[in-house]
Amino acid sequence: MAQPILGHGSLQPASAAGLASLELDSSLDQYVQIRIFKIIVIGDSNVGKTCLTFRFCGGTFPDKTEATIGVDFREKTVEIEGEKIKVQVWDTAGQERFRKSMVEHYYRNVHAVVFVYDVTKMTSFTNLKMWIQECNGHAVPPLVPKVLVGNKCDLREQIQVPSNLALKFADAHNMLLFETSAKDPKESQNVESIFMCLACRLKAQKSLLYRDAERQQGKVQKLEFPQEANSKTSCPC
Amino acid sequence: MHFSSSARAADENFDYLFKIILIGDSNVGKTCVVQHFKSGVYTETQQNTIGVDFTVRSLDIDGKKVKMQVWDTAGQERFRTITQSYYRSAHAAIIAYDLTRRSTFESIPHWIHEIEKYGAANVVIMLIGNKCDLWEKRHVLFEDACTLAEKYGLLAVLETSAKESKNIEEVFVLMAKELIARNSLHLYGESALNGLPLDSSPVLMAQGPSEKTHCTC
Repeated sequence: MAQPILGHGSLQPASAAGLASLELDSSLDQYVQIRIFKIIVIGDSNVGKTCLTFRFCGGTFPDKTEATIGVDFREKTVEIEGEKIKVQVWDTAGQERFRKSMVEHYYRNVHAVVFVYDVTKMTSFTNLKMWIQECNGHAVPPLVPKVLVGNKCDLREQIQVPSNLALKFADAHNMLLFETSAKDPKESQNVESIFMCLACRLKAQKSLLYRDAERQQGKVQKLEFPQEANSKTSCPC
Repeated sequence: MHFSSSARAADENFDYLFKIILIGDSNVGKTCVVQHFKSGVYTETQQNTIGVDFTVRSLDIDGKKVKMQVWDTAGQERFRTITQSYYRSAHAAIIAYDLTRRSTFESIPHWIHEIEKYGAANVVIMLIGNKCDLWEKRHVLFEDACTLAEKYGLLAVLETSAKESKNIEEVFVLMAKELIARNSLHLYGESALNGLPLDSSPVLMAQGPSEKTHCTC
């Protein structure tokens, strides 16, 4: 239990330093420490969170998974427009007994949140309200990107959550909906694209120059940026 | 999230929510099209939630409030795998080409194939030839586009100019009307879209005219 806490603590200074250096002088890109994006995956037990993170980080599907206890870290380094970025995926426990002492750490300094439900289990979809409330209850900033993932869509005959229902729910909570299957090998690119979308957005958010150049929405974007800075400086750890 | 208010009802109350993906070769003007659509007079919101450009705008169609969720793939072409996620759950697709560049028109069959590969079986497809303001540089005849649309059973072809505000609104209004019509006839209900059992109850609140009957053909 202590180990992940220590691990997390040691990562923060590196990440902060990297961001500061990058923003100050882009000509030092090659000397900047690699950036780390923390993405947490949450949802009911047995919806396939572990399989999704395995698929993204390793490209495979584990034959047999047991309930995640506490948290499992998985990392993958991706390259976006010439920059290497380390995506650190936190695979969380869905069962209460395995997670209650860890919840605070899940949400600390999180960069993005992935909510997962099982398209073959309506209860896992209706329980999303609870997961969203938990997320909001831990002061996750509104600008932190959130996506909704409907897993196990390969089990077509057993689908209980229609796409339209999920689409409306995602829309109501300002999330984008992805439906996928961590199990189906043909879906591996789809799983990867979910995390790649998040990584692209996070890179864009954390690069003021990039954002201005690409979007030309300087006023709005600049308003967003200081908020993030404030959010970071208020971090107690 | 950016929200602009208007005299119209709150965004939360809508009769239909449609997801539309905007695809096509690079630099055909997809982003300009969606930006222009977004800047219309109706209530609009934009959610920069993740790494896709994602625009929501509401239209009033024959008394129905229609919320259009438009996914623009602009700037993401270099990530081939990302676009595949867009197709899932999409109700409709708009394929854009640049009528001053023949190669972008020749790519249309490729994009149609992508939709067939990754999208639902009954995605409504529409074709738009953008940059029609550059009439002296035209390399794609409208007749050619109509022939291709007819061959693949597409809904329609429109030539647009985001620059001159030509036909942009019409594209989305036409698409919305078609999607409403299909929904009202239950041709585009839950069971058809998801392959669910026929007794599945529809999620979209179809409120077609009461005199219409369910089409069984």
